Amino acid sequence: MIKFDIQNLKLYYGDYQALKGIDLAIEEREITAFIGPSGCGKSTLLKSLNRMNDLVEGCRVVGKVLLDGEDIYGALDVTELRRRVGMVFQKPNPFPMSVYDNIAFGPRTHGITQKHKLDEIVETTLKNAAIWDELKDRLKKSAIALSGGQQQRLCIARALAVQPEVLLMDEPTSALDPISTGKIEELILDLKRRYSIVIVTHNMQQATRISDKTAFFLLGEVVEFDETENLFSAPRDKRTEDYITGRFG
Amino acid sequence: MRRVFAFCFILLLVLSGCSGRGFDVSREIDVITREEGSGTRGAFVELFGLLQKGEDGTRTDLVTKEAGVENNTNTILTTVRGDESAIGYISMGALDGKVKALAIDGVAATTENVVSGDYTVSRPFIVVTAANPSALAEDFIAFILSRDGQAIAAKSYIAVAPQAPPYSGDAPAGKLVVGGSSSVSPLMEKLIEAYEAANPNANVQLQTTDSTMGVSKTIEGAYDVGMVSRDLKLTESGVLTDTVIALDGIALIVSPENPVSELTREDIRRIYTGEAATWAEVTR
Amino acid sequence: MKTATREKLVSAVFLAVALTSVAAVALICVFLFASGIPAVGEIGVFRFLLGREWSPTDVPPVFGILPMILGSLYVTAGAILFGVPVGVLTSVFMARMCRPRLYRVIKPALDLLAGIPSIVYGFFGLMVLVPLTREIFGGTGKSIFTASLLLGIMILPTIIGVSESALRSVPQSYYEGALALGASHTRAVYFTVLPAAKSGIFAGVILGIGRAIGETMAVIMVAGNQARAPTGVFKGVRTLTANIVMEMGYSEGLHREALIATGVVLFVFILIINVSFSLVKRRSKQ
Repeated sequence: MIKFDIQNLKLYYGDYQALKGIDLAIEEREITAFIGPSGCGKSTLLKSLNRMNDLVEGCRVVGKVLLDGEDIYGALDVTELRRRVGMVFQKPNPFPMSVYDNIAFGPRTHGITQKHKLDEIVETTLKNAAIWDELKDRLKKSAIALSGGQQQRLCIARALAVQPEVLLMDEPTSALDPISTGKIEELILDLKRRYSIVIVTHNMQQATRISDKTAFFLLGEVVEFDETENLFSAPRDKRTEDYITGRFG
Repeated sequence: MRRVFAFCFILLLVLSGCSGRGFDVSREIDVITREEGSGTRGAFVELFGLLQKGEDGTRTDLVTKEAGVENNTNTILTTVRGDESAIGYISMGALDGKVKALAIDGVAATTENVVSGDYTVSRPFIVVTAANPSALAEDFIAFILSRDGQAIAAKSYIAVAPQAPPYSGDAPAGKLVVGGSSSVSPLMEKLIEAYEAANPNANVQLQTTDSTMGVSKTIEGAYDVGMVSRDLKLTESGVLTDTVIALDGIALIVSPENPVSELTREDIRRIYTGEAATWAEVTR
Repeated sequence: MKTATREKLVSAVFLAVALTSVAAVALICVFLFASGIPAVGEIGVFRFLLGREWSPTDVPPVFGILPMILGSLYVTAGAILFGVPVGVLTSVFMARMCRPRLYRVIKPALDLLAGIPSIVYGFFGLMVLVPLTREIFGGTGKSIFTASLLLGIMILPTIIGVSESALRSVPQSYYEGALALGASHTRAVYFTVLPAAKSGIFAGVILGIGRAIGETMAVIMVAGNQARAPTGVFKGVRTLTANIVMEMGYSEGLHREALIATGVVLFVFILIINVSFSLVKRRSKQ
């Protein structure tokens, strides 16, 4: 079933056109990877899926992005959109507060205030993010004191706490060491059972390791979109081949 | 910027308009005084018996600690003008017509009444010399009593000889030591400055102590001219020659909105000791 | 001249210039303590610091500055009460909510506010705040309340300036993180950006306290200056600074030295404030 249906999406920063008519269907409970060289538009597309591009001044969107058939640039409330479509950033960005308050921030934003409910959410989400055992004794400690890998998993847990349907991940492991990266990839594969995941990555091995489908971006266009296995073993487009064999990028 | 000032001014007008609801005698009196150490305060407490003198030389200033303290005449004027239940005191020379000077024991606070001696909230500024003063001392006192000297005195105090002829001394040379009352001292400083300009041959030194020292040191001969800011005792005036050079009057002031225009010395003493807290207690 | 010699000479000049301010502080300390401490010794430490009566011209004189210490503390606390909420909210508005066009009005207005001499604040207080307080709350209008209000306004530029730059230096990622969770702009600012700028804002508040406790000319015109322990929010008060400035003019002998000793106490207060400021700053860097 299609979760995100992107139809002829064009995005402009002022006069500059960053996305040149994207058509893409993102399947539910799959991992979709966006790859491509810097400035190809993959992060821009990711951000436009939960309207984080609204923050950029002079950003204009033409075309449609349907979430379960509903246009996210239409009547859909942006806070509700962001609750349903969570995001994990390149650099871990836990809030400068306790682990507990980090996780509870989202649920509190959406109106949950009872202590016992929050306690429950914090425990389940940390368990879902496979970090409960490491953090259960440090819930009241500052999240800033955690290691980079722990911080990123905390951020994933924080995004899960509002029960989203989709998780957008913008190069989530690029700032981390290989061991932490491994743990996060494991977590992402585990989360696939319940969430649709879109991940932007610079690392092609990562895409092959975890994603079901891969889209290759170049100069604001999707050059090729296919099953990950097909795309990397038998690219149809010359440019895709050049990129994945390391001739540029 | 000008607009901001205009706005503040209008705000002020509106506010002062609000207060036109009649004078409330049950309101507390806002007592305003000068800071400790000020000459005006010294004269005020002395004249109203607010300085309790013990047999053993102790001195206690009886002005209530609840009195608001300001350290300059202008702030007192502004404060009293705006606050209809306030009372303050200033040197008479600083009266500006925007506040009301109270009559004391039925005598209006005017220069004429001070000169005539009817308005008693005043004190003389006196210089004393030994029976046979030097030519320079005589010339200096002549300068003070001339039109030039009296004009200087009239700036802050009340002149005693406003119609005097200009100074016409023969500029005798020499050294002169002037000392005594710290109340007279600020005036004397200006007089000396003007005198030394008029008589370049003179070298006048000023020593600030107090009235008692002004008398005793002049008798001893340590001062050529002594400064005294109270009436001399008979014993002192026998030995020394005394000359009143200016009068210092103190005016009790209230806001023009305040219907009170006259108080007795006793009323004022009670206000300033804090015995009388509201206007009702001093209006009859 | 050889380059090395010239370099040495230049750095010596810079060193000398840099030491000027250190020398100034050292000289002030020497002056204050040399003339203040003997007076405290003569009066008695406890009678000076904890004495409730100040009658410097009586014979024998009484020098107790507890009323003024309390006065300074109350007035400063009041200023914080007025100034901090307004200042912090303004800085949040300026750093995170204000349209650029409005910012171009507010920022110069604040700079102007910072540049106004304190005597002008004093006139403003005397002509506007004092009558206003008198009309609304009765009494003389010269009170802890009025002084606090005026000081609260005076410390605004300090608090806003420091808080605003603290807020601006909060990484954008906190804000984005909150938005990505579905938080509104306001919620993201108040619950992630503001807490992240906490120690910077706190530093601004401490600087504001320093300014409030050291302020003299404006306070003296609106405080009433009664040298007795404060008796109420709408009653007059005398601060340490006011005590010094009011009586320094005519004072002599022990009275003068007692005023300088009042300055020593003030100096110690400022020292405490500065130390806590650097502690907070150090903590915020960590």
